[in-house]
This record gives sequence, C-alpha cells and structure tokens, in this order.
Amino acid sequence: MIFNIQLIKETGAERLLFNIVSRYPHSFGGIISVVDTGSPRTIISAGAVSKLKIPITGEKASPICGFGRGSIPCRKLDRFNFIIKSSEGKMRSIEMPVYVVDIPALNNLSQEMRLSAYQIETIIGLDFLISQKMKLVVDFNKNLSYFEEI
Amino acid sequence: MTEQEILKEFEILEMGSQFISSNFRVLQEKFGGKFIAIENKEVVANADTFDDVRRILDAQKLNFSKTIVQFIPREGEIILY
Repeated sequence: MIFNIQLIKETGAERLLFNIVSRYPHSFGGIISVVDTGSPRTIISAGAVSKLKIPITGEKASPICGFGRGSIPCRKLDRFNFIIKSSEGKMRSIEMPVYVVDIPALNNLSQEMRLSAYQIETIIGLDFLISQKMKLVVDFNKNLSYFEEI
Repeated sequence: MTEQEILKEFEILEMGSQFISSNFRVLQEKFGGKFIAIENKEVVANADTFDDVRRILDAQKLNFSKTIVQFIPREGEIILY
C-alpha cells in the first residue's frame, strides 16, 4: 500500500508534507507534518498539541535539542493513535509512541523561545518508518514521494 | 469519530497541503515570517504569533480546529530542525 507525500519544491524551502489525523481520545483532528529522516523520533508540534488539545500526561522526556532555538520541553506519549490514508483511499490506523511538546512547560519559557517553538512543525521521524515497516521514496525530479509498506 | 468525519478531515488537510505546496512562493512573499490560517484554499488570518492567529479566528467566529495553521518562513530563511 502506498501513502502519498506532498512535495514543496521551492528552492531553500523544500519539504515533504504528510497528512495524518489524530484519533487520540478527545483530540480528534488533522495535522500536516513534515517528514524528516534526520529526526530519530516523531514529534507532535506545539501548534498541533495546542490546536487538538492533546493532553500532556505522559512521562517527562529529555528536552528536544537541535530542534528550533535552544531546547524544547516535551513528554512522551506511549500510545498515540492516528490514521493515515493510502493513495487508494484506504485508511490505516497506527498506534506508536511519540513525543509531544509540553505546552505548560513551554509557557514558562521566554516569549522568544515560545515563538521559536511554535514555528516548528510536527515531524515524522525514522521511528515511523521502522515501527510501521515502511520505506520512503522521494524523487524531486519526477515530483514523486510516498511511503510504501514493505 | 465516524469514517466520514475522518475522510472530511483528510479532505481539509489535502486541500491545505496542496494549497501550501502550489502557492508557497506567493505565500512567502505576502506572509513570510508570519503564522497563517487557511480555510477552503484561502488565507483567513495572519499574525506574528500562533496565539494571535487563534485570537483573530475566535474574533471572526471561525472554527480554529477546522483551519490549518502554518508558519511561513521568510524568503531566503531556511528552517533546520
């Protein structure tokens, strides 16, 4: 099964955008995420946590470093539920651990840090590829990008 | 949530991500360095902060949870994670 990824091809702003829908309890809604093979972990952004009101209940995790300015406080959700949609319109439900930006802790930081943190998008990391047994295909020349189940 | 609600959510996301992808340069020229809210292929709010976008949407009585809020980097600005 193939799951299409949207390409942004503008020079200097290249991005791989992937749509997911959260079905985490009381936090239903869509998230546009960025596929980032430089990130070992999947991280739900401050904007998505805030918009979907994702409860910050998981254990405290090490702050995310090298992610925006300074380090951003986060927590680990052991069982985050979301749905992805295949190119044929079939839906696949996924449950995996993710990191979420800890909004209450972020609110105690400076305005500059908060602004910086909110600029960072949700990131689909390598853990998604590994845990969901997916391969990633990217061909900017053919305007083609997708995840494919192995 | 029903399957229809999920499909509707994907429809909103796909419309939004395609709009951003197809119009990125224009969005950057107009809104570089700002947060924007998109609804039905239209920028319905823009502001310097995420919270300000939410306030604008609330004031306009738009459904915050049904819009797509994205940060648009300035032209020439490269965001590394």
